[in-house]
Amino acid sequence: MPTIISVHSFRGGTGKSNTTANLAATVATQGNRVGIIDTDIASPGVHVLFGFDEDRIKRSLNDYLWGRCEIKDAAYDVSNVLPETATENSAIYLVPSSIRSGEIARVLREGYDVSLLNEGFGELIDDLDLDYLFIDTHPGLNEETLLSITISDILVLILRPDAQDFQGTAVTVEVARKLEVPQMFLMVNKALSIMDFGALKQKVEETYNVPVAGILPLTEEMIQLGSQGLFCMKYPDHPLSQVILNIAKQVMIG
Amino acid sequence: MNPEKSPQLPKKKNLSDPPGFSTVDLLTLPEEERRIVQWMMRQSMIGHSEVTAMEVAAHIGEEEEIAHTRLESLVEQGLLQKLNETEERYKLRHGRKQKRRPRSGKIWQALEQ
Repeated sequence: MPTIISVHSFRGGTGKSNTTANLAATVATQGNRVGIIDTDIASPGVHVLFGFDEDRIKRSLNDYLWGRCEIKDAAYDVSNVLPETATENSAIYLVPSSIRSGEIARVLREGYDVSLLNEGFGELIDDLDLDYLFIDTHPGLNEETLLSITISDILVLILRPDAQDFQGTAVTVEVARKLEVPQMFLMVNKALSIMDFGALKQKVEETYNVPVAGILPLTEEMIQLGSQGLFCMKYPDHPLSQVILNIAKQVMIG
Repeated sequence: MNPEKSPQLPKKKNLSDPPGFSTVDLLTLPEEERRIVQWMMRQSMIGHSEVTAMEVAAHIGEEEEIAHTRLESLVEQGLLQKLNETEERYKLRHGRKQKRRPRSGKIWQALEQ
């Protein structure tokens, strides 16, 4: 059975989509077939990192949820983002959510059959023969998030070194424990270089009793890139990419 | 993973369908019942959406009679539906994601144009 990984944060702006895309691409580079599905229907964004805009997204998760296509028809092969060092088996696919305001409004207004999302995950894994499926979730707790957490093998929770994030993460950790997620990791993002990363890791792990898979520093290069590409593919030797690689290894061990 | 998958496109539920199961219910169900529902969600994901009391009993490591009682309790709560066949089978009764109630329909109409 392939591994399903939900990447979540209680609050927005933590770098969730950026992390999902970079982590997924790093796992793919290691010789895996990887899928990313953007379930953040209300505020989709991960497609931007793969160079997609409104015109390039012909089919989306929304089309599947409305019965207009099968989920595999909304999946784009984005393996072109992978470096030459990737193996023959390496592949990465993206199922974006629609960025059209009318489509977003329709989902918010009319709702959709959540069981389709559940079945869609399985069909996507099956149709694309995936080793890993990454689910980019909507921040906070809602029905899609609970579904993703429930069916995931691994939950990666992202937080910033910020009191609001700390409180919100506590709520999510409590819910994930209640739902008995098999494996949970925390990832601290946007940590300032003046911080003592070792002490921060220890504090976070003691607070939640959950392992910290990595601490990502706030970097100027990442901000400069501005979501126009995958940082880890562009700067593979950067310390931040090395942290992501380390997290990817932990995810692959499961 | 799912050799008997239907080639048909997914069908939308009618908006007037009764509420049914919501993932939010997982947070309030007793542990034993929650585990059954979670397992059924995973089974559904791999194309095995209907289960028997015997299969549930094997999963939870209890007698079939106990599994049957728990399944019936979930049916009573409206979270599962029982399919009347020779052998009783149970299926998640998914509800539609809660739609939001806008103050003015005009806002939504404008957005959907």
